[in-house]
Amino acid sequence: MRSITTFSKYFISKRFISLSARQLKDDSSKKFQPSFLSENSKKNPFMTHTVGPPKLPEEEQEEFERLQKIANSQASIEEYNAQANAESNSSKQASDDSTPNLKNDIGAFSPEYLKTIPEFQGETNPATGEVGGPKQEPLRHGDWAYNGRVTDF
Amino acid sequence: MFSLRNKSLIKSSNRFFSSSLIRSQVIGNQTELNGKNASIAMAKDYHIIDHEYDCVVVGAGGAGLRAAFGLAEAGFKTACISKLFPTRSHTVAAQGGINAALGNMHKDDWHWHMYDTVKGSDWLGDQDAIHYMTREAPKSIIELEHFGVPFSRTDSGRIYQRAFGGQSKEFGKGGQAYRTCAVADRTGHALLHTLYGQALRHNTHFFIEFFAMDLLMHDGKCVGVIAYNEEDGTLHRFRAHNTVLATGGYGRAYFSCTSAHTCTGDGYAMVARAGLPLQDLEFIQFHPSGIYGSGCLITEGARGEGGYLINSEGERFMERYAPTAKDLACRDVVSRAITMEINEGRGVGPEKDHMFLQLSHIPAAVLKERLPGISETAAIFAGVDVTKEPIPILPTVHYNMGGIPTKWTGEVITVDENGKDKIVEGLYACGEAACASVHGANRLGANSLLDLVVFGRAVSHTIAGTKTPNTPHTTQLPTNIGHESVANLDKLRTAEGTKSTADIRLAMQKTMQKHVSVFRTNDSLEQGVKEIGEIDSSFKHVKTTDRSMIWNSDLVETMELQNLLTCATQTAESALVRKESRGAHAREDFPERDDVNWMKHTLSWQKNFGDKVDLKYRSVIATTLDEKECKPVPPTIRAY
Repeated sequence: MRSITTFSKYFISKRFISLSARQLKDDSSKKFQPSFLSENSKKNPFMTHTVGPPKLPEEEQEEFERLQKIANSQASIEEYNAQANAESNSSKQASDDSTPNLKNDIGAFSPEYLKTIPEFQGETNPATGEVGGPKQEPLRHGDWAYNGRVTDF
Repeated sequence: MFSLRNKSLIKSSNRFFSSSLIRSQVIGNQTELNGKNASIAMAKDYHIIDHEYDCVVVGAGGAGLRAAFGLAEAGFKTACISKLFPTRSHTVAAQGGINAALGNMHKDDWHWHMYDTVKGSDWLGDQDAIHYMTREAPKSIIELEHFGVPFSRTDSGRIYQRAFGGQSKEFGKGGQAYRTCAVADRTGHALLHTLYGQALRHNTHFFIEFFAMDLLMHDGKCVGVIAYNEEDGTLHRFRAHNTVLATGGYGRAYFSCTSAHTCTGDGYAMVARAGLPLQDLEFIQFHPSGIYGSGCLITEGARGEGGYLINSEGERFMERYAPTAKDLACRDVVSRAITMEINEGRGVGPEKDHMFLQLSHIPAAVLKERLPGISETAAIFAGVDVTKEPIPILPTVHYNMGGIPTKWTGEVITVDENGKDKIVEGLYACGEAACASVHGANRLGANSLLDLVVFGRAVSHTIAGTKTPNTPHTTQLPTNIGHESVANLDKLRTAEGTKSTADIRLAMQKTMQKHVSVFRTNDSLEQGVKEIGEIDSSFKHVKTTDRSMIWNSDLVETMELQNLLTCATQTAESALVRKESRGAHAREDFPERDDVNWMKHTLSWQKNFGDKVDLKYRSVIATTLDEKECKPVPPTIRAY
């Protein structure tokens, strides 16, 4: 035990507390030390250079990977798409009402009513001949504005 | 058997949340980026690393990037320090345009652009700088085009130009000029990304998420900066022959502003602490209708299409201030009327500190057709349904005309004992932080992006023209240079006062908004100076809670607040003393422009944080670079 460096002691002190009962029975701490140390340096997440977040504990990581596999399967993608279509259909029906309902079911303003309408289609502005320009004339009101938001004046 | 049991225990133990501890203090894998550890005597509790560069640029917005890669291109070993990732700089939010007399839509002349800019500045702009900016504008735009900025075009393939406010032909006599270039609705975005790409291409060394704390000054010369690396808590001293400040504005000194949360005037305060002056801080551009809280500006079209302003009594108060134009009165009048109503206690909201913009009387169909997007903007930023509720608004800071005084070359200047301009060796500034001064008392629309690129470029040209790359650092500097900055950091990191950073900041913002905004009289400004002075001195009771050095946003915000307080104090003081109305500085008690006494720049000094502000004046440069090429514009009444 004494040969363990302070650094690793810090990380494993909790484990040692739970181990100590067993250690007393087996009295095999001498045999254990070197193998533990090499294990520690190999597994220490500080010492590894992998891309992405550090791995979860084994069981949780397995569960995570299993769920990830399911989520990537064709069946679940189709299920999601079906659900998304159903949602947009129902909101389209709502938009036919004459009074706009600005709140959706979670309380926020529904983007369906708030989309800005482009003044023309395609690259070229038919009125000015500008190519690749903005889809709304920014200077309509004198200041430089899009969606009613001024960015310069 | 035992080792197996032990293995499973290790795995099921608490996971570590980071695997980046090994990240060394050396940024990047290029060996020339390696800094050296500073001597331990510098500060025993902090890890300090020294770097040597030809040039160091502080700030990576439009101006900073343009200067940085201009220098790297010229062969200088250049570092660019930024507290943000470069493409998150506030330049990205500039959806407007950029002026240049390219003459793509009609015959155009940069002399006309120069006339418009001088007139816009209300004759407080330095005409040599304006001469330079407007002359270099077409070249700079074409350069940008070659760097890859995808400007919108005419059908013949030239850059399309719009007609924007304040631009005229034939010295104000030829009608509206079409001079503003744009990249659809993302000019700033396209510009910033293009400049960042160029900076990478020319091997600029980026130090990202480094918070620059102070300039390193030695014998009156600037010899670099000291910065705090938020990621690993180390401090870095950058020694450089040339230091360029491009840190942006300080809109955040006000409660309502359009600028990003990072626009905290760090460069201004660094200059002030280095014992150098700031110029014309009292000139601040306001827009009358920013959404309360978020500062997002609502177009004047909202009033143009029939919207009107109401106070807490439901009164259309603009009828009293402008009986004929009413809600369509010009921006300054509307802003001042709103502030006067608030000051007289007729503001709305729990703190009676804003006004309502009513649109709900306009039929929903008209709103949708004539003001598309207003409902979206109001819903997102104010949470109101414009067909039923009014939008809460108040005058909002948009641009700081003042800043670090520079010559047209970008070199920072101060004044000597005789009041003559004196160049500060090794220090340059560009962008909103600088005051060249091309905007004078009022900035024209689409001239700010031009300011960035022209003067970012000017700085790199000036340095490339006067200095040689890879000059060794021979002067022996004191080993403890920058220790005051470290001491200040230490003091703020361990501050155990009674007031939180956020409380002091809000008090400052509300005071500036109330007393030093658009409605300015002697009384209101005196009150403002008094209150901001009290808030400034309350900073010594600041309390921080995070004692670490890694990602200590508490510490950074506190340092930013310190910088903002410096800007705010000097702004209030400068505004109180200037007894005239000029451009954005409109005094109710002195409604006329006074060219005899006040056609001069305010310079304000504050050597140590919390010191009394010292004011001096510097005359406006009313001559151009070359009288043969371009005649100066003599002062007349500014009317549109």
